[in-house]
Amino acid sequence: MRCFRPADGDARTREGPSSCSILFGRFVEKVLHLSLNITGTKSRAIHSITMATAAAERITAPDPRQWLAVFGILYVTTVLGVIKGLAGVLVGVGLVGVWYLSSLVGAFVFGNIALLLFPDVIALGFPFALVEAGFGCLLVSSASRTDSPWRIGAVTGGVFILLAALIPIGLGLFEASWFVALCLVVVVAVLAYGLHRYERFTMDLVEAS
Amino acid sequence: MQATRRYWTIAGLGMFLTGLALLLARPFLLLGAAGLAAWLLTKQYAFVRALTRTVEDLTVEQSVPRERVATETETTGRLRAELASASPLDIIIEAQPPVTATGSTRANRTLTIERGTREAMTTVPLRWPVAGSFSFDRPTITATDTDGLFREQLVRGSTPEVIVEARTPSDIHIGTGGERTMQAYGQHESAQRASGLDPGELREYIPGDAAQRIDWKATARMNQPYVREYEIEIDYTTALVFDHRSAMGRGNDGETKLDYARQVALAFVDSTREADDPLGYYAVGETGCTDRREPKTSQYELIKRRLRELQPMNSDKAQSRDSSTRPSTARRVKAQLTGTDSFDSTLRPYFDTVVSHNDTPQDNPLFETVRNHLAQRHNSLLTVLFTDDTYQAEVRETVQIARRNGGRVLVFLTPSVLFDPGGLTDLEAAYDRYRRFEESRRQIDRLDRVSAFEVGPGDRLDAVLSSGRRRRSDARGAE
Repeated sequence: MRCFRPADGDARTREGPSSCSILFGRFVEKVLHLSLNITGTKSRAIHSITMATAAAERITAPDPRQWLAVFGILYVTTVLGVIKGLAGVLVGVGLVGVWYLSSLVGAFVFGNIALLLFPDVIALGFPFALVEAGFGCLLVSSASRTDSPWRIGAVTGGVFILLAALIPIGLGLFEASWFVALCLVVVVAVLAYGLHRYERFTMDLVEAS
Repeated sequence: MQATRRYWTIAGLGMFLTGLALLLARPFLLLGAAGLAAWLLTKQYAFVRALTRTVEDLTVEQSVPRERVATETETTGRLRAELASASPLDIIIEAQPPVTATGSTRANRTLTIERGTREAMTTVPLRWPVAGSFSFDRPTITATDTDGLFREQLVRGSTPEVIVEARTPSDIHIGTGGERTMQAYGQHESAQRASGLDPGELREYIPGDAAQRIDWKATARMNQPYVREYEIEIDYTTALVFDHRSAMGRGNDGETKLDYARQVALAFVDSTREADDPLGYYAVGETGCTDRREPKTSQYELIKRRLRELQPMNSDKAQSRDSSTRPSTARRVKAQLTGTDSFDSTLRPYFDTVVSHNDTPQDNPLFETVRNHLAQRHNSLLTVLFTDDTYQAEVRETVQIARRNGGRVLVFLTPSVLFDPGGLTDLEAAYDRYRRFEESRRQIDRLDRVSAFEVGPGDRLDAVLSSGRRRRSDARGAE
């Protein structure tokens, strides 16, 4: 199998088998289809997301020090296993596989899409929140690779909670999910652009008018 | 701040989850999108924070070993970067030498500070083909985060300056017959004494002196009338005639006859400026006068600039001259037409009309330039001629016409024997050639109001003269 090389624009390059991730995605899809008799739409969604994750430029091997990520995956696997049995455990295995072949971000995306297979878990509310908290650990664990892991981890968790809180509030106010989605996109874009302008100002890159 | 393709890929995943949430009517997928957005925003914040601290701690220095170098020399620049504390970012620094500096590649201009390291240094080979004053641009710093999501490019650091000077001849010999001559240029005092501007010496009053010339203070001191004489300061109008025909280009790069003559001419311009004399400039090429500036006192810098820009003319133009039209050819042919047959008698009248000087400037451009522009001037004209010994007859004729009307002439001649590109391989033959040059120079120097000097590399002249001395001593020993 050939190794995938990231395209131009990245300072570091890491190697990983993209074809492996594609094959593994297909394997997961087949397993899910056989075990759950899922519809064609959902299986194709999982397959395409797996490929998109594998096509990400940076492929990071799991760091043994990322205890929070390991804890998160074990936690999610346990919760889903308790609720849904073997299917839940298989989702946990899938999380590990996607994390190994792609990245924690890929595993996060995979996990969220895999929840489509468990609409009853979503409907239950509290178990769904538990699972999402486990997924949140995957995001926060990436902060362990910065120079201030606690600060960055806290910022990640805080921003996630704030943005997540906007969704039920928005849905309660407006009831139109497309509008809530649009507001979410606008808020994130404004925050990102604000950080960008702040950086340019700090680096003295803003041209005087 | 630039977002990389990985950033946009992950942002695209977030938008995909958002679209999927709307498509499948599953709002919970918006949580996934919110999670990705939170992660990206946090990474952006971490990058800005790390970049700010890194730039504050980073010192970048570009340096060169010498601020003044000669053209075509190779130097080694240095690029050094140091962090007060290790940075979590990957930093790549690229030196920015002047565009005119060659010899470096992007690889050897680039310095990388890995995560965890605090300093790095690299050397940059540089070559300077063009003269002038140049300064480095500030180095470019590219910082990238560990996840490859963001990249920023800044310019920070020192900007050293380098002055590249054109190669100039060294050990310039100006002299006569191998002896170095010191020349001092300054205010000219005329041999005339009259009621001029500067006070001169005192003398006793004699009947006939004008009353207003009596120096009353001296008279009061001496108790008898004294008269003070004044000296007139005369401005010599100086005309610099510079030969830049192809023959003047003989010699090694940067050490041709023209280069040596140019250095003397530049010094002469400085001396003329100190005397505040009007200075004119006439450049002579193969086809005649190529540049002309009438004598004025306000154009010394302009003339110096023109001298620095002067180059020997293309030798192709010299070779294109048809030798059959030269007067020397005509005289030679005329000398052969001494017979009484119809062939000689038919052609002889045509060669009888050959004049002693050519009518076309292309044949004697130096002579024609002086004749057309300088020969009619007042006797206070000082003509300074810079040429070589290739066209000796023409130089003699030019000097003759320049000293007409009482003018003075200074001639600086560069002997061709000292500028052979291959060096002085046969010193004895070189000495013979130098003797012939010296004979020609003395002929010119013997003329009234004319001084002729030799200009060339002193070390080569010493080698030639040493050969001559050795030959003489060998000859005396053989006797």
